[in-house]
Amino acid sequence: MTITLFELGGLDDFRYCPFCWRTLMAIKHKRMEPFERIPVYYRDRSPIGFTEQRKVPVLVDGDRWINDSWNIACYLEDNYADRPALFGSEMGRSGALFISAWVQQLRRPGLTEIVLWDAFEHLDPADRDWWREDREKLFGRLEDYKDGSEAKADAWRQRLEPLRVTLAEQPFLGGESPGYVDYIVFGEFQWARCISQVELIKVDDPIYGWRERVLDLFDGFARAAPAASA
Amino acid sequence: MLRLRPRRSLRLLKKLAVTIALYELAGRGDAKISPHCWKPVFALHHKQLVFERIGIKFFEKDQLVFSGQKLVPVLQDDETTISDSWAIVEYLERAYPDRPSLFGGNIGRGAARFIHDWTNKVQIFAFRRLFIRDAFDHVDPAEQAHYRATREARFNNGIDDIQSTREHDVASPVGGYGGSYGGTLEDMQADRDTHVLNVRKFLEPIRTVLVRQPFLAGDTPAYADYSVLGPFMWAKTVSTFPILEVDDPIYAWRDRMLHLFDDLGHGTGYPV
Repeated sequence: MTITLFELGGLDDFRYCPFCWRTLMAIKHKRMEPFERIPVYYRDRSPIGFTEQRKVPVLVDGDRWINDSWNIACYLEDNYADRPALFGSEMGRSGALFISAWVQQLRRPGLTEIVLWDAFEHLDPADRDWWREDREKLFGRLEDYKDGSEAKADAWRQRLEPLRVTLAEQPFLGGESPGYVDYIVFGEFQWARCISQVELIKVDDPIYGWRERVLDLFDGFARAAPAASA
Repeated sequence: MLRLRPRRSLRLLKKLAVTIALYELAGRGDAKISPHCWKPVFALHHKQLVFERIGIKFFEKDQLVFSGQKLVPVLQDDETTISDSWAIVEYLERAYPDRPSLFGGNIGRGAARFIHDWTNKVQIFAFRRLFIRDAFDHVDPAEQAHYRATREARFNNGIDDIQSTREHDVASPVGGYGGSYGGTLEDMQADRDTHVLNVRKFLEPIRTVLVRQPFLAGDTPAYADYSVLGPFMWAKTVSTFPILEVDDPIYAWRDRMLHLFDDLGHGTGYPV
């Protein structure tokens, strides 16, 4: 049975939503091939109208649908237990929950302000008016985020210290091989990579090598996605 | 009554005898004043092992020469000597696989390693300014001048590099987890009534997990819990300053943790 993922769509074929990337990597990890990807835009949620809610990602598996990237990861782990593990145990699942909350702290304030203008520019043009109005309520004028991203990235990079220390000791957050913990953090980097040219991580940082390893997974699946950065 | 052949009884005796020792940082009155040492203490209990706790003061580090380095904690298990708190808990998981697991497999271990590093790089650094002057009071009087001089120099100059801070001397002042600070130990602690509001925000990842489940590791505690408990044990050993508000989910978790292993935590230091 082919599964279907409804994910956020952007300008041309840019698919940058960090939560959708968590799910995309989880689907690849669970070897759920082939699967279909359907873009959903801010202005028109009708493709997921059947769920009677507005959030992507939505995974459809047979006659079931699941929304929220965390719920999807748990669904895949519990229903496809014979496939490679995303969590491996309750402790692994709990650790992923912690890391997800840590990532949330890093996003706002943090990465969101660094890439806010880039995010605007990578929207489907028909989504821009809606998005500007929605985001400016929270962030003020979008144009104020055009400059200064490099300096903000310098400060943000420092906050990654726990991740840096861990990845200096082991190749993946999941240990010797990747787990859902890796995809949670990677979603943030892939979001930025898809829409922005800001140098978030320096080449000599252990995090840089880890991101390269995750980009290489599944025959370079994430690396092949349309992106603003190399 | 069971009669044992001599050789067998000898072996049994050796098995019952305490062959594990943990060397920990000690202060005035043998108070155990290192967050890093509390992590393996709880991990050893989790593994249901009987062990001896040996306090080492700052000026007694030469007693660790057998371990080939000068930092606590150090674990001695029969012929095996291990230093570094992470290396110790990894060793326990490897050496005692039939006892309750600390990590729950490879991915669990990987994630626990991150939480361990988060404890060192975020939590401990954020906590330090809440009670560093109180901690000074719990250092052995003969070592207080040394403690003050080294801490004030280190935290003033940002020379808190990885090498000088591995294990009991904790994290670098990076990442805005406490802001830059300096001056005397008294100065560092002076703004704790406002700093604690930031500290409570830094703890948000713990809170997020604990509103969903009783322990960081799930329905029962494991290493992720012991790692985060370490700084709370350090705090209650040296200070009465209230880090948590009563209605914080972390408060109830800490109480559950302090009840473990016959109230090991509640029986140590000041009440919380």
